[in-house]
Amino acid sequence: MSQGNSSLFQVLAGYVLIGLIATFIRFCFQRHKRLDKWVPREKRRFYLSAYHLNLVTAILVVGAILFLFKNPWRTMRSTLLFDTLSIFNFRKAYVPSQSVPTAGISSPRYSPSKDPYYISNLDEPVDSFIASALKGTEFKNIVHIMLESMRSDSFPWDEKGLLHQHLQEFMEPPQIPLTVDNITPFIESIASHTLRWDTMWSTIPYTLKAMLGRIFPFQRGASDGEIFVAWFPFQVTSLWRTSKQGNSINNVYHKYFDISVQ
Amino acid sequence: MDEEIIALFNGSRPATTDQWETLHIQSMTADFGEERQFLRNAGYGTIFAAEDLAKFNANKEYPSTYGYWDEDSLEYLWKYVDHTSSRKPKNRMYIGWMDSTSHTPFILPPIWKNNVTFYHEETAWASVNSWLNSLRWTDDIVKEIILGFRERGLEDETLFVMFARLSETSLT
Repeated sequence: MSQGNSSLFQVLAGYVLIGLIATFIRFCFQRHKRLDKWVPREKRRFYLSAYHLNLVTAILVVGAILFLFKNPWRTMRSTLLFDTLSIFNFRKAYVPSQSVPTAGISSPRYSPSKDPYYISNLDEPVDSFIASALKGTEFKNIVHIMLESMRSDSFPWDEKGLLHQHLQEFMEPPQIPLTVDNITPFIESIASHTLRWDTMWSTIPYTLKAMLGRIFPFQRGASDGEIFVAWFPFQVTSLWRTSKQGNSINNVYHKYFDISVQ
Repeated sequence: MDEEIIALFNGSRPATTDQWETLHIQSMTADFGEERQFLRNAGYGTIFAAEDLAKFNANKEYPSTYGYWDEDSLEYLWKYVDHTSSRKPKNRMYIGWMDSTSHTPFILPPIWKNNVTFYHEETAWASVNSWLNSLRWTDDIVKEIILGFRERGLEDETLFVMFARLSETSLT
């Protein structure tokens, strides 16, 4: 499909055929109650659901691997498992995965402590340099300014950085010199009043999950990385309270922004 | 560790004096990647994004690639700051603001008139010109935010933390 050929119908037909076979097998199992032999009666309801989901998933994956056409689908097999499992992510969305970096992040059951991409330093003391820099200060408010897709050597503009060198070497001379005064004069003007870390690393090269590093820390459970799990009961009660309030969105706008939706 | 962090930010102030009020605000959509639910899980009590801006904007169609122009959310940032800081008792604010103009395709808000020509638009380097001007725009918007807190007398009691993420690099 991505190459403009006409294989979409064939691939779609293959998926439908495999799906029909899986459905037929499922009905056969149910009709002959063969699961009675394998699953205790009291747990049958759970295993029926999990078993068939896994069976359909396996059939789809194996069938797709064996019968997918070479172009362009074979080249996309690396994402095949993810794509197939995504169909059933209502069941497994909370499970952190190495192959699906952003999976489950919005689930109330998501736990950073179980995420292979999340490296916590919450069990370590505050960096001594930061502690000494903040000693005696009394910050009342904290403001995060997040700059999308910004390299450290472009803000402020680094006239000795790799970007600058690359532009100077490979591009035609600019109409205006590429200097810090012409590109980022303000942030440079306050640079001497700031702390800067060039050794900070993003937790993950995905914007959304990288924001894990700016979790609001003053909440119960933050220290053990289980903040999401700890918050789940609160979320349920919060949703319940919200559902009981009339025009709740308007209440939020009015409380925090002093505005109302017309 | 969190107790140590709280103690550092409190200074000599008793830890229980004030409550935190939390806001994440952006002009981009918060529906992408279920960001709104993620931020809610992360502890942000109020989340204001393109979907919220649409309620107050006559133009329901997103004018920018990812939502509304970044300047559009600033108006509501200041509403939040003014409203929250004037409330009695005066609580603490934990605010996150995120831009999208510095993300490709570097489309500059039309309200911003401070762009210059590093490379002519007619050349093969037009996209580089847009990117360099997005850096100039970023510098201006950061200036506007910090000076906005200064005008309100909040600069000296506010810690500004700048984050960025691109590939392996980051800055603070």
